[in-house]
Amino acid sequence: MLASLAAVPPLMVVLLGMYLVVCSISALLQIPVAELFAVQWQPSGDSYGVLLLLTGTVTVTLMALVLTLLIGLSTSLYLTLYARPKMLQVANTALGTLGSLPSVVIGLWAMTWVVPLFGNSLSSAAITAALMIVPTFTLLCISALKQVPANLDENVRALGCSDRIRALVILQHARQGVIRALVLAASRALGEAVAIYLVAGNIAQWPELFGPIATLTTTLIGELDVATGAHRGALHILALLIMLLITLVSLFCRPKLIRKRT
Amino acid sequence: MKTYLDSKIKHVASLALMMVMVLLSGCGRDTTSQLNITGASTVYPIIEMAKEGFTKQHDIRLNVQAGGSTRGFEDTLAGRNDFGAMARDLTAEEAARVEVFPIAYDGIGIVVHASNPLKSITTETLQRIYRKEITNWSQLGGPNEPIVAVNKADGHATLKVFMKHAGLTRDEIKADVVAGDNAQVIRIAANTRGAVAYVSMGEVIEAAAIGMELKLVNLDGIEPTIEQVASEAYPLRRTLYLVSKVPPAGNASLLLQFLSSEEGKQIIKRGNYVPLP
Amino acid sequence: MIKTIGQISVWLLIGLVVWMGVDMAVRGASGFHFGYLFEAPADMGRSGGIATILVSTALIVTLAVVLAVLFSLPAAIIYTEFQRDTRFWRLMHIILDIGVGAPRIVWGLFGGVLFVGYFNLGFSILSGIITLACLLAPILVTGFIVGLQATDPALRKQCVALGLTRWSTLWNQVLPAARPSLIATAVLATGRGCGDAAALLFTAGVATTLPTSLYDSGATLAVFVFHLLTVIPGGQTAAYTAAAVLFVIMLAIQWMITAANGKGRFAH
Repeated sequence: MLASLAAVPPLMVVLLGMYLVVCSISALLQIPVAELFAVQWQPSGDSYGVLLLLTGTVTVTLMALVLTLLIGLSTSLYLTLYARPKMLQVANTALGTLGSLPSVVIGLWAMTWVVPLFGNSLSSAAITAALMIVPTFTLLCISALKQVPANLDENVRALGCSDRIRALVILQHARQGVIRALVLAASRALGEAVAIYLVAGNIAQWPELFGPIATLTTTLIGELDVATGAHRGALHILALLIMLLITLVSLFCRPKLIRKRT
Repeated sequence: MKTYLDSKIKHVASLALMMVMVLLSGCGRDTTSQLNITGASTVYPIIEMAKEGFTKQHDIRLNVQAGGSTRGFEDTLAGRNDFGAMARDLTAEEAARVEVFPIAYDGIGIVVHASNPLKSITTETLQRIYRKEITNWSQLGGPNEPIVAVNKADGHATLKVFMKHAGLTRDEIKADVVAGDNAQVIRIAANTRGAVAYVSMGEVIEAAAIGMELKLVNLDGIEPTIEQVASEAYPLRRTLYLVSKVPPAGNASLLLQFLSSEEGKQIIKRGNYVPLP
Repeated sequence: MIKTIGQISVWLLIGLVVWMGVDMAVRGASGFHFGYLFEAPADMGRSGGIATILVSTALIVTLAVVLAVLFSLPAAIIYTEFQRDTRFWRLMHIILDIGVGAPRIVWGLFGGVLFVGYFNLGFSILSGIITLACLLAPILVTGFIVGLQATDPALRKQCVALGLTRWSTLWNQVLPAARPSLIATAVLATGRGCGDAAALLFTAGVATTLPTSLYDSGATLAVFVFHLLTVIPGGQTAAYTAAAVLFVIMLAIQWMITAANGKGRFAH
């Protein structure tokens, strides 16, 4: 009884995977494979080149990750090394709030404040994606930095090292946690659709900093309700690609759920 | 002890399972008192507005889902809706497979940001803008502002109608922003100084009326007004259709009757579309 | 140098949250009126209230979380009780990870075709509930596992020493001990559900009328905001008001999670 209930969540995930694979394969029967490698995504002209969308997704994610690293690392270092407890508490609340906001709200805000500055562009998309992932990344970083034994920091300080060395030593010690946080952030950024859709411009072309960009997810959300026939099949291929990307990234480094039992 | 606990777990589990069963099968899907309409986002506002008056007269629920015209057509063929909404003419092949009911006329307006001094545009200029041969408003005697050409996503009828009118192929169109539904086009046009877009006229008039910063411009010298669309003088116009797989009966015919009634025509007018004569 | 950059980023983030809050409040206020929460939307959502939307949201999110917990809690229990370092459990672990990482829009595509189309449930609250439950289940399972594993290992040993059976230990000791964290996970999932637009857009649909059965379409608040932004001409102002309410709901949920986790989740 218990086991049959318990089997459902993993089964649904397997079902999702199978569904995507089957639909993608049947889509490939309608779309010549060579067409997938074309440098053009134009469903009404029957070209379904996924390359531009893939580049779009990867570029947006990478740019967002760079921004996240800059803001998140400096914030978490400052909060763990220098800030007063009160400050840490305020920042925690702020990060928790920002992290809990739904993508439509972030997207709406970005639409009003970021798009007037950068246009419907790659930059806007990256900033919006960064907004979505900075809070989780920073919070995870803080907890990773907190795992660093206090006497390490004391020793480093006793040696009279500069602030930079001190930060580096601590980061070096907490690197696993930081990488894990980064991977989680990356997989969220890869899958984000709604917020990016509202600001990206959604044109499949090579990435330009201030030019519009389409990603796998924005194409899905923009075209799913109008797609028919081969176009619909092609969208399933996009979905499968996102899943593969995310799976690759999260398999690269994942938190250990399996523990040696004591 | 063990048996007591086991029974407790079983008790909870079976209760839970029962809940799921109730959830899944509790209320049978009652399709007799509802009408499902999917398809063109241009037709969406008409049905949504008609909903209020229609449900007052009849105890029928209208479920409307906005998508694209072709999707609406496919849904109709597959029997997934009672009506498919289409914002373009059907091809002969398509028309042979469904029942077609025209419900209104709609003009596609060319819109720019409210601050743009442009008053009028020609089809040829539009063609060159969307080919990226003209990229700055100063080339058209306007301010030095790059042109942001807004395009509709593939699958939307407005794109097809526009391409046909402007004599453009999909390959030639080089836009700066792609938007899906009409409201998104309007929002981008109103938020971007250099924007130019083509979108269902009725929705623009409504958006401008509530203070959004955009305006319609004359196309080939013809004023973009509902009257000009009605008199067939405005060049970029189209018919909006509902299509159904089988000849409509019952609820479905009630809706068609409602749309062609005096009240229905008033609603269509209120949405800035042109009712059928 | 690091100190300065860090200080700037911290204030930037805090400022950003305040800015968003104030922005939502100010822009949303123009559409907010007495009775906003108790009236049905009118004029395609551009005026009136959001009462029907709140009903749909509550219905979809609550039932989806209940449904998901129903499957996830047993899964987490079995996982913590029986898992060994074998190939099977490693595979399970990977599957769960993939499930957690699967984007909402992909679940939306899945639910949209499978439940809406294949099982012929149509754009309905029921389709939305099932899709959302599928989306939330892996998140819940992972959260529950962490919660169950975080209980004091000594507790189990003591119970074994007292001769309690495995189920008795679980039922009477481990589950109560883990309760705050289990509840926090469930509330977190509720928050995720409230914020979801991509998965529900293509399954529960966008109807703004009061749902009369589970087979009716109904928009949740997040879907409503997205719909106002993309489909309804001139819906931006109304979107802000609805988004402000969503903002407040999220704040409340965030506060509940902190409360459920006990004080100072990050303070130790």
